[in-house]
Amino acid sequence: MVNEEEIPKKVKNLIERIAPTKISDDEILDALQFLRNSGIVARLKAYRISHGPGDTALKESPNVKYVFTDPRYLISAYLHEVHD
Amino acid sequence: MTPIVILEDAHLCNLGEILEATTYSILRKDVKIVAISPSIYINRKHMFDVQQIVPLRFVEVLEGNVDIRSVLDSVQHFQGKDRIRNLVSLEKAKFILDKIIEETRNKYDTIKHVFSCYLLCGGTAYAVYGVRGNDGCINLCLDGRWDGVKAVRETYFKTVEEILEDAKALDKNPMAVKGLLYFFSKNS
Repeated sequence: MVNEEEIPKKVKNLIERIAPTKISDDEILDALQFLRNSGIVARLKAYRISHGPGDTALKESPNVKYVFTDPRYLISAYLHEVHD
Repeated sequence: MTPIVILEDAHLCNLGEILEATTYSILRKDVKIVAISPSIYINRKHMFDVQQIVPLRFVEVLEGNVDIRSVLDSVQHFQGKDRIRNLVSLEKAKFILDKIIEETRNKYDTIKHVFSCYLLCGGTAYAVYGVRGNDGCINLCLDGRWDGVKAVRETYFKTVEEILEDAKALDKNPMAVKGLLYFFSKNS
């Protein structure tokens, strides 16, 4: 799981290690939406039930998990990074 | 009622065959030709001459008064980036299919079948030609040898490079996409 708000920062750090490129948060969020719309990654969101008396509302967690919809995407991305 | 001739895999035809089909259309006057071709080939007609030729195939000749091309134009199916959006969005693909079904009024099951396969499989080389000797998704789908989701997954899978090409075509930053793919490969 990763804090969703931290994804752009973490990805920017990763990109800067690959190439000296400046990318905005919006560009990363836009790219993330593209990957989701393309069915390449799926977003898993965590919720929890409050333990307060009489409070059964679902509380949203700030953490999410993005998973590849097909393991081949995972392998492909890994190999691309290693060999590119 | 105007016969409609669907020219499947039109991009595999050479100019002579296209001309033959057009002549047939002109002679009959009342025939409408619908050419099905991946959008990537639409502006590369010069390649027709060097393509290996497969026999001209008229897959269907149907009686009807529906101009499928105009239907597709109205839903912008063949227009560059919109087509990619159509293929990656289930809602959009369903919308187009519903619109085609609605405008063809259930009379043309085969047309619906062709286009449902086309929408599901996409117009990629994978879908059209297949991979490593296996038939492409579109042929499997058309022949009824199609194992639904499996066929789409087998043929619709894209390499990182292909994902980046799609991203570029949609004005997304390829480096941002690449960074996300790398990031998720470590945190998936």
